[in-house]
Amino acid sequence: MSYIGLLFTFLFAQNVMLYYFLGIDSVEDMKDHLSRFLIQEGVALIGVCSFSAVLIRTIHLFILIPLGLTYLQTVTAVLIILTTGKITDSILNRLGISLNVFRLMANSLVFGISLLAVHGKYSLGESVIAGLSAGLGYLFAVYLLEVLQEQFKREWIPRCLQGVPIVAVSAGLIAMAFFAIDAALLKRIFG
Amino acid sequence: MSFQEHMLAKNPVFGLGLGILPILALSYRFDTASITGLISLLLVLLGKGTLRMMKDAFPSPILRYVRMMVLTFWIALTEIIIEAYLPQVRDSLGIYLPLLAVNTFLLEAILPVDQVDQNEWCGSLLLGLGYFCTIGFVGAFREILSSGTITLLTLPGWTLKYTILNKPLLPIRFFALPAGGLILYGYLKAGFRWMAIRMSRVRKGEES
Repeated sequence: MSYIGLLFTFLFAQNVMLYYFLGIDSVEDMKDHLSRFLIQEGVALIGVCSFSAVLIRTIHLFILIPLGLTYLQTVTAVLIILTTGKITDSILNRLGISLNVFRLMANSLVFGISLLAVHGKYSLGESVIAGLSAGLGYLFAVYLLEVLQEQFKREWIPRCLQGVPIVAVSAGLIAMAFFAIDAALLKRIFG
Repeated sequence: MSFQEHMLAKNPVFGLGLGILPILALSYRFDTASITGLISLLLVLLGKGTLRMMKDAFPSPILRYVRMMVLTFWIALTEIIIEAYLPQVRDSLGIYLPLLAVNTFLLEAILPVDQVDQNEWCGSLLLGLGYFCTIGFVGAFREILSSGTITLLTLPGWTLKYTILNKPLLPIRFFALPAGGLILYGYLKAGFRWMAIRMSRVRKGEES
């Protein structure tokens, strides 16, 4: 698939959060400081996603497959994510930004997109774009849910449905809308 | 707190909001959901045991990284065993089996307690069982709604499947899709919350 096709696939047709549910566990932790998340952690997340996706794909392609050590894929991937996280942490510290980097490393989006790159047999360029578009798709979905949450504060909602349940139902409806943008259609348009 | 209240208010998925990813991604069929639950229960016990033994060997700032690595080690081993003996299960779990290494439920459940507690193992077992029951319940409910059947076991060339919904009741395929999973999760969470509120009201009424 072309780079633009891949970007649109992970942004809409197969949005990493609404289709693969990657990073959905972390949404509840970050809802209190979402605007800060979108600016700082979001950028860091996109960087970690792209960097670890390409690194994991490279090691899988050039070390694990030739040596017949593919069963070490999970251990290697987690080690790479931990290392990338620590590097990001030291870079951010030098820039004077303090973030909970462990939350970034434990975000299933980072590991998930690397696994998708390996399973989808993406090239190195495609892995970078996949990581980038996955991060953007995730931020896009989080932003949409935040806008909805703001709207829900002004509406009457039954007590049991308030908070996560109504957000999950709304996320389902957004996912249904995104489902209309078919991956095959994108492939046909963008090649 | 009674057992029912414990299962509702302290339910790992609907009460505490942990481990949502496998609940949404793998609950489209009962067998994949229950296998995920079983693997999670096993990982809780193995991870907890390993971390308990290694707790004093590492300073607390790096214990969270060790926690992730311990889980990864056991998951890699599980992957190798499943791939060798149950390749179709490995295929149905896909990328979500290695993703258990960053599962919020497992990372919380294997966390060692500072003081030596007699009930620590019992608590972990209950938490793991709670997760197993919840994912199994969601898997059964979603499969019945989406295809009208319940798949108990899938082995190479043999499937144990029962049809639950017969005509005129027709299944709604939408619930097998990711969007259907999210909507179902939202309504189930609301249902669990309603039951927890109702139960606490009943208890307060009995006390007064």
